[in-house]
Amino acid sequence: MNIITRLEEAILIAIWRLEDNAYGVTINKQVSKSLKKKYSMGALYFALDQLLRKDYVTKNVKCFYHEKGGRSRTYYSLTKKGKKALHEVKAYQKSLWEGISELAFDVKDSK
Amino acid sequence: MRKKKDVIPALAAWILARMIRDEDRLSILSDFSETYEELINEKGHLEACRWYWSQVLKSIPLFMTNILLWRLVMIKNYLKIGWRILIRSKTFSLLNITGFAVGIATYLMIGLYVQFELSYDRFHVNADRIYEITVDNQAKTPDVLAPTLLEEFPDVKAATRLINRGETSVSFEGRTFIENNWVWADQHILEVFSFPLLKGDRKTVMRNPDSIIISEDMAFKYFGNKDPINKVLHCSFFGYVGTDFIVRGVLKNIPKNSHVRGDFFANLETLNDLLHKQEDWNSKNLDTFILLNEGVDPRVFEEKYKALLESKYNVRDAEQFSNQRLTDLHLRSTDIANHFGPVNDIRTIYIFSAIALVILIMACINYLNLSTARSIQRSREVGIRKVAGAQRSQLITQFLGESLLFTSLSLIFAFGLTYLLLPVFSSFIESEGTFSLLNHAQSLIPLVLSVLIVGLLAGVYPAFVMSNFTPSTTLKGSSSVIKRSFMRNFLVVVQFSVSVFLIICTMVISNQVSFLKNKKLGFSKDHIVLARAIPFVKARAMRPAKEELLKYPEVTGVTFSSAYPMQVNQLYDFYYQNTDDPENNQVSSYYARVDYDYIGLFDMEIVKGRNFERQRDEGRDVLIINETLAKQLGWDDPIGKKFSFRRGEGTIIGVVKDFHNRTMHSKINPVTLHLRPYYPDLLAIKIDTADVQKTLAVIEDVYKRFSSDYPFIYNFMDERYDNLYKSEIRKEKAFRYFLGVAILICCLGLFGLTSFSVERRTKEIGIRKVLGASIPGITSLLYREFTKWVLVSNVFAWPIAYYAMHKWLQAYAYRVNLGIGIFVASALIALLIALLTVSYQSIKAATANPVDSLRYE
Repeated sequence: MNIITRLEEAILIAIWRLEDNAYGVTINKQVSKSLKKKYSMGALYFALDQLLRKDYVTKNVKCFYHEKGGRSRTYYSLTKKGKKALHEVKAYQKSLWEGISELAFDVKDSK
Repeated sequence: MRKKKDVIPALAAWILARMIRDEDRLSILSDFSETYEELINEKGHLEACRWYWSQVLKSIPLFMTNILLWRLVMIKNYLKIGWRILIRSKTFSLLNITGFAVGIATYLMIGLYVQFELSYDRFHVNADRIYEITVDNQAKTPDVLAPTLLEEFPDVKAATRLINRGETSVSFEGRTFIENNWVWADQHILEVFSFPLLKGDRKTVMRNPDSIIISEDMAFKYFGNKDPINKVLHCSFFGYVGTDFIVRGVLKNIPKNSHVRGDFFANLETLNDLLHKQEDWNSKNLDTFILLNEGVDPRVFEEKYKALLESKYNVRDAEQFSNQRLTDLHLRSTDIANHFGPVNDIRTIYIFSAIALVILIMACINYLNLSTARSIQRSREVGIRKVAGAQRSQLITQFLGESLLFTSLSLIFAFGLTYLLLPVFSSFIESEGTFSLLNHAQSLIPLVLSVLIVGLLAGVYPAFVMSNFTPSTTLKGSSSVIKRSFMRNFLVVVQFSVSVFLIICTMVISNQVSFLKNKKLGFSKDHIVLARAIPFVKARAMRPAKEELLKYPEVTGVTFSSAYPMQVNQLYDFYYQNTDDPENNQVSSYYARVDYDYIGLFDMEIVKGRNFERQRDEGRDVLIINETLAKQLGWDDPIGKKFSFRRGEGTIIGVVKDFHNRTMHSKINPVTLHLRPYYPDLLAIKIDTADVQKTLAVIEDVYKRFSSDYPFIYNFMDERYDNLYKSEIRKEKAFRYFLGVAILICCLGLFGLTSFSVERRTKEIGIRKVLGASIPGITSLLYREFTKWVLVSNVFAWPIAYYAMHKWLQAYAYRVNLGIGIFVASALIALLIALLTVSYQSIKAATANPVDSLRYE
């Protein structure tokens, strides 16, 4: 299994969730929300490019001429490989937690 | 409408834009400004501005890393493509890499050699202040010079005299060896030269007359692992005098790049005692080395001591004294004779360096040529890359990277070749050094770097040509992107000029060498065995030895002399009675002591007077002079004239026909042969036998009968003669090798070019054949394309070769002519080689079926 970082994992999930609307700004918002932490834009784009190099995501540049203030946006989507990686991460985490019941692990008790 | 203050901070945006790759720039900037605008709406302009700046600054390291990572991805891709291209066209790659590797290997080997030769004597701490004193262009100086200078001038910090008197037999505990590297030196030797001393005290080691310093190797040879200090060595010299020496010090082995070398350094005082020698200004047989104090101008010092020698010591030839820098001795003192150590000519070094460089450049030209020619095939790749958005700079990087890949591969291959060829190379190169790749890692670094730089430079031209293709033409499928290039023809001309030049040089050198070997010398050198006469001299039994040897029918003649005819190089002054001009009564002549059989054994011819005869000349001092001397003296009849000289007085009884008493570098000199049958220490034996080994055994047997502890070491005279021209013979071999390399590179290049030219003209040839062209017609069509340039290259090669060889031959008093024949022959050889190289491809093209080449049209 390929190791991906927590940020990369969050980005992959964010792209999956956002479906057709996954570009820099939205991904950043989604990731910050789910990880409850603000990432710098640089960290985000770096992670995105890493995923790109690993072939987990593809990108598609769209230019808008009149709508949205004449901006261009790079939309990201998951590749098959990316989806598989996400599944693997999920299965791996599941196997990590296997056998530990929710009750045995009480946050309040351990304090 | 946006308010003016809503506009994003320009500087931050500019910095941001610089850190992003082109393809992402727009969208990332958009993302930034989108968030920025949202923030303005939520928290106001100031907060948004702060956010923008902090984001940009925080992101710098990550953006930079990102760019580097993308570069890596691209480089990986370039390497992959480069490798695939290497593999796909195997012939091309093989030709190219072989040619380049051979060129590099030659360059590396010559480079190592040149570095070694240039490094001579630089390791001494005070190398720049050590001088050798020479007299009249001879390295041998008067005995008392060094002590006098040391005493008279505070400028001289230390001085030492050196002399190597040849074979010395050294024994320790009953084991005896003959040593050739025995040097007599003054006690200050280690103050002048900074040879590191492993054992013993530098200051006192040579103080006593019975002191000796030996090298590490010798310490091991004689004493094994035992401590050599204070051990006693018994040494005997010239076969008859002997004494004991106490080992006081052990020197680290003297490096090979030292002019002064020796395994034993014994105190010179002892030698003088042994020979009962009075030191004076007249006998010149020692080398004098001085170390000057810091800041002393050697030229001023030279003038000072010259004046003093003349005024105080009445030295006649004081004007002839001169200082020679130690670091110049090895390479820049060919005009000085009788050197202590090995010398070489700086011109040889220049020539070799030039050849090394030219061969490397030729190899690069090949790469350049073949890559440009091949770029037709890759024009489509370039087109596609450009359409896909590659920029010119990226393409250039790619092609430069490929040439780097190619250069590195060739370099690896070249290292293998060098490793294999170095032993062969060092055997024929004229050098004391032994080379190995591992021992010279340090000196290899600059060489390898220079190769990489040259390799990259060679990649620059194709890179620029290829990256310049316009996609619209290349993708349309037209193959005539590369027109007949002036550049390529020019490069062919350069390569063939070098080859023709080397062919001429090699031919001239080998002509001269065979001339040197075969020239009539005025004496015969066949079937003659040479050895030292030491056992006989020691037993004072020259005559019985001669009789003993002549008893065997295989031995047809025996003679004792002080010099063999080819090496009469001791110069003496002679005085005679000159009736016309009584003042002018002195003549210099080379001198040898010989016995009755000398002239007969060496088949020399008496042109006037008579040979030495036992009945008439026994006990008399008689001389025979050569024609040159007779002519120089201007006497009509020299017979009966008298000469007086250091060893007494003699009467001339005959004139011998001129013979080459020294190498062919100098004209035949005046020579005087002196009848001294019982002193000389060189032996020559003429043999007439089918079984040489048996005869040698017989001679050795006689030899041993007179002295059992002196080994019988012999040479054949013809071999010894060839040895005089060792440097020429080696140079010839070296040039043959260079020539081989140059021609190989040339041929590989031409072969590659032809195959691409044929490829380019496949359709043309097909159409010609369909229209009825004959096979010879098409072949000659392809021949013509290249032969023209090969012929042109002669125009450049001839004058340069003529000049170089003319210069080279000037060093010989006797030399071959530089005839036009050699030049024409070299042109023909080059042409033949070119034709043979082109043949394979052109015949293949001419015999191909036009259907194959035309069916796609």
